[in-house]
Amino acid sequence: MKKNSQSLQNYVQLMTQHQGALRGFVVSLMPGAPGVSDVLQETNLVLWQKMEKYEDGSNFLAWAFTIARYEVMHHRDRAKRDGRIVFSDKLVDAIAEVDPIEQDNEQHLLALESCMNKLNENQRQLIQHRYSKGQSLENLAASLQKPASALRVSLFRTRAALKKCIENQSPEGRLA
Amino acid sequence: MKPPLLTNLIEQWLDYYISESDLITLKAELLANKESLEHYVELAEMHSLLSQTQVQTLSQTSVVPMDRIISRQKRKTFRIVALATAAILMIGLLVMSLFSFDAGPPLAFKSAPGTQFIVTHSTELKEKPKGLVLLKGSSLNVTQGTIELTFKSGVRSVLQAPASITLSGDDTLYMHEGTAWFEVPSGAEGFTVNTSDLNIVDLGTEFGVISTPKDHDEIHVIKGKVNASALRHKKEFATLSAGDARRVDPVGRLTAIPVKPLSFLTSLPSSLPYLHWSFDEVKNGGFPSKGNHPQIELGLALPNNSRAVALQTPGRFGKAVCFTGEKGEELLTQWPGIGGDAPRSIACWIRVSPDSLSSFGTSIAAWGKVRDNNLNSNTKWKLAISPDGRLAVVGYNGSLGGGPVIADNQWHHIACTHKVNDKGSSTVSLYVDGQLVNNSWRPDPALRAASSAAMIPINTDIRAEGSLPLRFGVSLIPSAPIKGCLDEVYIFEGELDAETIKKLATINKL
Repeated sequence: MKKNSQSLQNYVQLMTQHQGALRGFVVSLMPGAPGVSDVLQETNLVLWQKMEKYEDGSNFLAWAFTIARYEVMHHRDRAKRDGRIVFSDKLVDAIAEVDPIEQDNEQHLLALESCMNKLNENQRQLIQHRYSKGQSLENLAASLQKPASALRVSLFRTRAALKKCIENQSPEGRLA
Repeated sequence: MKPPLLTNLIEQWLDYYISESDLITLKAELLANKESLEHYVELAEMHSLLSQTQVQTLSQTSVVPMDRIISRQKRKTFRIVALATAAILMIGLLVMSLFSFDAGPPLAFKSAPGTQFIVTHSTELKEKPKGLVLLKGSSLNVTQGTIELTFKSGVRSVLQAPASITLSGDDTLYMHEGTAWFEVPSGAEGFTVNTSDLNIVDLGTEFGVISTPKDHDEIHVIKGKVNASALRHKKEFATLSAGDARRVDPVGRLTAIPVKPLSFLTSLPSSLPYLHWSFDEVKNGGFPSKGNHPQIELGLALPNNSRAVALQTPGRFGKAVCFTGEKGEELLTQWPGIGGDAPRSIACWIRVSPDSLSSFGTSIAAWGKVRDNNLNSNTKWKLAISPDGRLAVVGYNGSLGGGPVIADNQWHHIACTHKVNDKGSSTVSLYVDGQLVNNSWRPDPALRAASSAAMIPINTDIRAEGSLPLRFGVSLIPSAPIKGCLDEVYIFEGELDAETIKKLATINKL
């Protein structure tokens, strides 16, 4: 049945609202692998194509996660053929079973921005190098003439500090 | 498993450098312990959040209003971004297509992996548009990679770097530079492309345009018809049909040239455009190139005066090509290489013995033009081994080299990337066995006596008379080939990142 304009608007709002959770879910199913944005885009496309099948008022996130899981599986098959290490079906199923938690992605991003301002210059450089530039730590280690292992430890600590800072700022506590 | 160890393993996995044994341990722990699994999901979400800041940065800073750019011109202004299409844009487009397509942007675009571009918008815009869109007056500058443009009228285009375009009207594009393919659907006739030399008006068709600042522009008609007008003095005009191609000359005449439909990409590739020589098979007397580069046909590497099969030996992956140093074994292609200061990368496996080293260097791959006096030699580009057995790249009126000795009769993976930074100077990275190595500049021999010798900007010449296309195992000056083996050569139009190079060095795949 065709959706009326109010339903369409709600559906788009749900898609927009849950982008952060969807991305987090996709990242958890394909850790460290490239192509998260591609899978997310494909998931959005399928969500859009299957809009008519979504029942208003049902659990959108569970519905979206099921679709995302399929898309990750497709992507994973390609990654497997390329010789990349991927998660087993069993582990993907187990991760998919962790309850999706409604989250205010926008609020977390705002909290992250504020927490980033509390980092020192070295920490900020490290995060920027890893995420904004998407480059390896070996690369940064070579240019800073520091061992990559030391940078890895710093990166762990910086992420842990950011996570704690965001949790302290979030009303619901846990980062999710 | 204790939490610090668990966190450590998860972080290693998310950063994708976990050892196989640790990965087995982690997978078992995640399957056995729900709390560990929840902790994993939490940490993955933190990664996701941090990577979203990247997406946000892209969507916010890749679209820079002109007034801000002007005010920052003398500072470090542009942030170059490399991205796959962001989901944020996806949603933006969905919303637009749902509620108000008529009021939507005249042009939306997406990019292939590895693409780097900058978008600028007209100062007349009151509000900066969101997402990967161009409005009237917006410009898109692509330094490497490929972009797909979709106009509101349904016109589709694939644009290859280096490229620079400005959207002059809803269905009028100004191409300052670039190689672009256009598909104009029924109902969108009249779509116009202008270059500095040409005015092209579509009559319902599929066509390609090549616009290069240092050469004459070309129009290639693949289907249907177009009207082409030269803008210079003679202002020649022609209605061209499928199979016709013209190059505009300096006085404004349209000269017939062979149509080259294969010069144009018609869809977004899954990586930067590249050619790959595996040397596993012999076809048409030589070693064919594979990959997604539109000029792949030109990559057939033919021995100058030898049998290709006689050069094949077991290699690092499948077969390799080995030169014994006999003249005529060198491999010649018709591919012109990458010109100007455009970004580029080359990666391959080599096995070279110490006795093959020469005082002039040992050439692995080269293209471009050798200056008569060999002075200020920035018009050729050559991957080589220096006289002391280390990796080097030549073409910077000197060479940049460094790293360990690789002429030791063992297989080594070597790679070199080049790009021009925002200050206009060359940035070269050299890799040996997947690791970045330090490099330093050494002037050409003729410059060494000069106290003020300095690097000059690279300008690889692939169009001038005397420019030589890509060759393997020999330099651009007639000489005997190297004594050594070569396998799995990749050449990319763009700067590869360290991760991709590492992947090529380990699994020989992108």
